[in-house]
Amino acid sequence: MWKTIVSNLPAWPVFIQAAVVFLVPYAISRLFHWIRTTEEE
Amino acid sequence: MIPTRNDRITTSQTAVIIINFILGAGILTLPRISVEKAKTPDVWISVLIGGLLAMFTGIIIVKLSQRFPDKTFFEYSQEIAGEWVGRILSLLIICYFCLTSSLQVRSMAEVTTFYLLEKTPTWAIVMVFLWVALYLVVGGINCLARMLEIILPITVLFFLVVSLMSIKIFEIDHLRPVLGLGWKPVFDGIKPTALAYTGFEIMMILVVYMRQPNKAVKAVVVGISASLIFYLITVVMVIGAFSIDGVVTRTWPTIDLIRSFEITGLLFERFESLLLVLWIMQIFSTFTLAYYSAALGLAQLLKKNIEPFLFGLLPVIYIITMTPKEINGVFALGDFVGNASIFLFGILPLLLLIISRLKVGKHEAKSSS
Repeated sequence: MWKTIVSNLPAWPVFIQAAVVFLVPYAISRLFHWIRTTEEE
Repeated sequence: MIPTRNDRITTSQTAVIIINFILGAGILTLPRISVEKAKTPDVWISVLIGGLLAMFTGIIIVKLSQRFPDKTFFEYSQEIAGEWVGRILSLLIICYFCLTSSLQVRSMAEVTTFYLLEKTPTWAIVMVFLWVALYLVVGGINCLARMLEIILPITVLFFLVVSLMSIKIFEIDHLRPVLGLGWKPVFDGIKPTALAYTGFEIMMILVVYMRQPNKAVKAVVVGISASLIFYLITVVMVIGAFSIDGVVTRTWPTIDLIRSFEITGLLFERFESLLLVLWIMQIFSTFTLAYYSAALGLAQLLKKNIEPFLFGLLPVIYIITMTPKEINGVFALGDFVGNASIFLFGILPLLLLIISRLKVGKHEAKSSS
């Protein structure tokens, strides 16, 4: 059972890519959020 | 949940959303999957019956949602089945939407790598797709509905024109004899064809956003009927061109149909790139709807703002997308999602509708005594 689960898991680069998938838009959104708040101030 | 005024959608937008959600990756594989089961040219009858079944199920979902006009499934399931059972059911449906969105992205990546961008790595195609979807979905359901209103007429018009152009290689004899092996093969083909209509389940969420929720049945009937016509034309044209023996040996028979003819004298002689571009737009709409539904479900389940879940689901969807190692794994995932949808959207809404009616009946009997 455990072997089947492990064999179906994607390779480690996929997890790094998943982190990139999250971080890029998140960083952009935080940047624009920061720009908007500094403009308001 | 009471949506703001900007979040409201019209009845026609609802129908457009349903059509877009139904017409996803299924259109490219439906002829093969249904012929594999039925093994006769009568698959078009299965498509017809499958559509009617989907319509019936869609109406049940609408009737259930109309009993709770200011709540989505994620909220009213807890009212009907109790807090914990409702939460588990909601979680199952959220998982379903995550799997559906991943499946759509992977199908798109497979087809794009195979026919359009041969040397582009899959991760590059998938990442860009996910980011553009996030940008759209952050705007809410109204932005989604407006984009789908633009996409649908373009895709439907071009798809039908290109399909009808294949009349040059169409042979009516490939569709004969009608009911040569009786009704049994037709009934065998109903399951895969009915699964191609999954998408109407979006009504579990959409009724609450409608300006006129009393017209939700009309939206479902129009949405599923339009998809039915679309599927019927595709299946008839593909089988008419390749015969049933030719269809079962092709992975993407609908694309092969468009690749198999050239028309000289027009701006384009070959149409598969055009079809694929339009189809990718269609996949994009299916994906964004499933992605938005999953994030909305999590947000409502945990009573939080939707935005963190939109960001948080991106890596999850990416990992699920990249998990199948090859194309057969993608189809196996598709089968699993299809079988899950039979329980989640075929049996479950009917059960919940019966329970909610019984509960109201009991409540009324108590208050009258």
